[in-house]
Amino acid sequence: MKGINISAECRSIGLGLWQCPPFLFLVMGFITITSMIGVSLLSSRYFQEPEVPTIIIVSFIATLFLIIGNAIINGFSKIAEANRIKSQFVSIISHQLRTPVSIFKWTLESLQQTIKKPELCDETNSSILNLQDASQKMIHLVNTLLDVTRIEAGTLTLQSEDISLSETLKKLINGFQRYAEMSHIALAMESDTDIPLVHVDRSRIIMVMQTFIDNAIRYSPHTGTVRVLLKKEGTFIRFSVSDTGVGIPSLQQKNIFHKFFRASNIMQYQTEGTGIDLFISKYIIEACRGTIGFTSEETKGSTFWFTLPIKK
Amino acid sequence: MKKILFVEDESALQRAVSRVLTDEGYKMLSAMDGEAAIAMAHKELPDLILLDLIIPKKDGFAILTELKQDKETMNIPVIILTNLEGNADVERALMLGATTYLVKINYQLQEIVEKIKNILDPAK
Repeated sequence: MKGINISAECRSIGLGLWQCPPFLFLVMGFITITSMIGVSLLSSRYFQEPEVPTIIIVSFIATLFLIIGNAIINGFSKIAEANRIKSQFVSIISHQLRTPVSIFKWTLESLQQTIKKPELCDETNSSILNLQDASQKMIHLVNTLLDVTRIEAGTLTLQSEDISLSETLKKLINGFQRYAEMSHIALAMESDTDIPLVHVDRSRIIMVMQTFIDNAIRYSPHTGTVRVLLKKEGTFIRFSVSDTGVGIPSLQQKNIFHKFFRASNIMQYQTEGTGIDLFISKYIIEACRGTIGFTSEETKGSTFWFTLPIKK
Repeated sequence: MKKILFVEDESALQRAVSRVLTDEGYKMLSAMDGEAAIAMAHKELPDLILLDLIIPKKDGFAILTELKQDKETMNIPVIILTNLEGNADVERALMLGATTYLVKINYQLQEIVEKIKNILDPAK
């Protein structure tokens, strides 16, 4: 196993030059050499008692070392923490992939039995729907992994095309009805009649809309309503999803779009979730020159929205 | 007819397992979160509990501890059925009184059925 390339690590987690340990070591070395030379030359030449300036300068240099040393330790700690988070992320995603894989394994085994009995037609259809849901989950997890990797490497490219948000949204809402019913949530869509086209990456915008609607249904523990709105606002189109769910505690609201963040109040309701979807959503919307945001009150509910520029 | 309580929050897995065990002649009870699990265990006193570790409202370890400390439920055999695979988790579960620890992804349904039959109807 090769050693870590510290400079590359610093760059990948966004540490500036003045926080990067190798550069700081160089600075410290430079200060040591110049100060040693400087102290010996200056104090013997210019002062009767060379000890006084020597002590002053050496104390000053020692203090500088402490400060730089501290910065070096901080730099290393940040690299270690970033690596720890990456490992944890890989571990979380791998574990979450096991759920849909288990569903496939056992549902297929159960299907083998129900297919033999024609009177169990409903059971068979139900099993097939379960398999379709599970395969969607797997696809989503794998795409999440790929997107995060690309965002980190700066290689995420968007393929834009003309999209009708209202058409896309109608299909999406239909797909969500089954999940909404199972969760006892009423899912309603309101849209202006003439929504102009936008020029964005179709699959990625679908992913963002899915994230908002899925979260709204998922974090409404009892019965409730999820309202999806699509309207024209000047030169932008605004999409918003409002729920009557658990909301986000105000102290944690600033972290919502951060990588891996999941608020503390939802952990007891939903064991699934990677904390990555909103991070990716924000990146995508901003890359499409839109804006993204939310309002929320704990125990009352949340509204998540984004805007996208209308195609000229 | 012997009763089995299956504690698992994924409804697709609930269906698959219930179907297969009902065919084997067992009565299936299901709970989708920790609080429902404890309530149902006390109400129905099943002959066996299949317990997932990661579920909403109360985690599997907390449920296992509670079941084993309560006189009514302490003698019900518990099979852990989870995708968590760490040694620490296995040891902890067995120490808390679980009979067996099975990792879902490593077993076919039929293999799990055999293990259940060995516990509930050992003579056969």
